[in-house]
Formats: sequence, C-alpha cells, structure tokens
Amino acid sequence: MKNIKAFLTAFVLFLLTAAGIHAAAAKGLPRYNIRIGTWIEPSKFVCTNGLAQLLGGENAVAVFGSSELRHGQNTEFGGNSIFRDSDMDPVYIGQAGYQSLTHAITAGALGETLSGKKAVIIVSPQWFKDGGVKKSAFGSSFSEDAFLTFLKNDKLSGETKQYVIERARELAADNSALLEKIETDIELCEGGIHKEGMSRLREFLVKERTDTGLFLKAWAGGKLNQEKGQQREIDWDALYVEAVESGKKIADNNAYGMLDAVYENQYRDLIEGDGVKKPAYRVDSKEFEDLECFLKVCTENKINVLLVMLPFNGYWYDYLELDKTEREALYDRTKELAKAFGVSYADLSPNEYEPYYFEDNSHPALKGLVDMNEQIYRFYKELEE
Amino acid sequence: MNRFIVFIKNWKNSERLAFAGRVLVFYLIFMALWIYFLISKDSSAPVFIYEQF
Repeated sequence: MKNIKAFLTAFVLFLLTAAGIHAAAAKGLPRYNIRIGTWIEPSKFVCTNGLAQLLGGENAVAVFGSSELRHGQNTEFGGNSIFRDSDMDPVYIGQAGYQSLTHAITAGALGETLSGKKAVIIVSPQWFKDGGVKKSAFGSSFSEDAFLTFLKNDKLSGETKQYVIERARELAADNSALLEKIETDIELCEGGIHKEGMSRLREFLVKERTDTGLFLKAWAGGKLNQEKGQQREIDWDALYVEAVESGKKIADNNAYGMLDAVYENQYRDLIEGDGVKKPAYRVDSKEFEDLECFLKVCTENKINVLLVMLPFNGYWYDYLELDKTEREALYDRTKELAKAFGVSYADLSPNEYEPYYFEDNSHPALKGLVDMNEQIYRFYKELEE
Repeated sequence: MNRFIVFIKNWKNSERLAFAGRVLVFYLIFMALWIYFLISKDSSAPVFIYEQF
C-alpha cells in the first residue's frame, strides 16, 4: 500500500515535470535568426513545429536542398553571410542524402504554413541515379513527425498521399523497425474515429521528442536569441567581383574547375590512380517521379516554387565520360517537369565550364554560390512586387 | 561519516522520510525513462554514408 501511494505520488510529480519540460520546449522553439535559418541540423529538419515557427514570418523562404546547403557556409559567399541582415529570411531544409521524396513529405507537413508563400528546391543532377534516392539516405532523413503531419494534411489528394506511402514502404522494405513505424502511422491515420485517440497520443509523443530535441540542440549550440542587425542591401555585383578575386587565388591551378586545395587533397590521386567510374544517371530515374510528387504537393498546397537546376562540373564529368548529351537530357527532363507544373525555373546548367564556379565535382563555390543565392533572392523579390 | 550513519538511521525510523525516499526513487526512474525517450537516437534510422562520387 505504501509503495502504491509512493508510486502514484511520484507519477503525479513526474507528470508535472514533464508538463514543465513540454512548456519550456514549446516556448523555447527557436525564433528566426540567420544562424538558425541556415543551420544544417537534422533535429531542425525533422521538427515540423520548429520549421513552422521559422517559416511563419513574412520574409521567410523555405529552401529545400541537399549537400550544397552546407558547402560555403561561413565564407562570404554562403547564404548565412549574404542574407545576414537582409530583407529575406531563408530557412534551409536538407543536407547530404535529402532528396525530392523527403522534401515532398516535409512540404506536405508544412502545407498550412507554406500556403501562399515562397519555397525553393535546389535540384542536384546527381540525384538522378539509376534507382533514385538510396534506401539508407531516405531512412536516415525520415521524420516520423513530418510523415504523420503529412498524412493528416487535408489539402493533399489521396493520389499524392498514396504515392508517398508506397514509396516510403518501398524504401523502408529492408529496415523492419522503420517499416513498422511507417505502417503503424499509416494505420493510425487511416483508422478513422476509433483510432483517433491512439493517433493523437502517438503524434503527441513524436512531436514531444522532436520539439524537445530541437530546443535542446539550439540551446546547447547557442543559436537562440540572436538579434538582427540593421537591414542592409545586398551588393551582388561586388560579390561577383570578390568571388573572381578569390577564385584567382584559390581556384586557378587545376584543369577541373575546382578549388585548388580540394583538387590536391581529394581528386589528384583519384585521377592519377584512375579510381572513379562513370556514374549512372538516367532520364528514367525514379527521382523524377519523386520530384513530380514534390511539385504536386506544392501545387495542392498553393506553395509558390522556384526550382534551381544546379550544373554538373563539365570538366569533371567529361573526364568521367558522362558526355554532354546525357547531361543535357537530364537538364531537359527537369525543365519539362518545371514547365508542366508552371513553377519558376532557374537554369544554372549553362555554367558547367564557368571559372570559379565549383568547389569540387558538384558543389557550387565562389561565383556558383553567388549565382545560386542571387537566383533565390530575385525569385523572392519578384513575387513581392 | 557519523552524521551520515545517524541520518540513515533516522530515515529508516521515520515513516515520512521513508515515504519521501520511495517517491524520489520512483520519480527518478520515471524521469530517466522520459529523458531517455526524449533525447535518444532513433533506433530505426540507418547509417547513411555520403558518397561524393
């Protein structure tokens, strides 16, 4: 009897503490500042409440991408430098391994927040591999928070949801723990009124994890409570001049259009040892269907989209014998898709041989970063006018 | 050390303190489980190895 009383008393105290943690995390979800906005951190990407808060402001733009979002950070050409104290608040969503399907789920989860707003998807041609996104990439980027919220979005058509469900099942087929999670979420969301209670409880627990995870990471990383400085204009011309000046110093001594240090450390030995094969990128890659799904999600939620098509590093892919015709075919297919959905399209593909454009075989640097960020900014301003 | 031994004896002889001790133990177990749930890594997430080439 004494133990039961102690147990119940402890449980009540625990509930009070948990409620306190919940309130602190909910109140402590980071408000927008450029460091949080451009922060490459999975705990941010999986937290729909956190992303919704960051994207709630009138100057917010969701920027969906992959590994290029991390490259160039903390140089003067990265988004976190260019857009500091500007009139645009970019919210980066993605890192290596994030591709169209993951972004479709996140965009669908944020449908209400993003409706009528601007969003950008930066498409890397390297996404269009033979089998589309890798299972391990999808699994490691999967957010149950976003998936549950996606499934509950009434604006999405049954067809779009079914496509995502089937793809999620397919990509989780070799991961029984992930597949079970996905199936449980689907069952609860489709379960109707008799499963409403369980569905809400599961959603509560999932969001409790993601909200607290983001709050703790942001707090530990000193990313809360950053004041904005005085608003300033972005001088794009000056940035291009600076990029060229930097490029002459750090990217002028290799035949592959890369930064010299990157070439020396990562590529020279590879090339000399003939250690890289021609990649298999295909116009019938499953990734195109996933990209189509992302565009459908945005259309159904009335999200205004800019698709930025990044270029291949022409020198590198010539070396790998992925010839220009094959590369052009991928660009053309992406352009057709953008046109079919009536979304804005920033075509950076003509820059395959542009000097001081690339860090390595694929990621933009220097002029490439300035160009990519300028395209995003021009899209943002156009819709404002 | 003596004070500690005296404290433990008082604890064992006092019903209130004993009850508080039991509450504390149960509370710490609940909090440990809850904190673990909140901050543990997702066991279903596979390792993704980024291949640049």
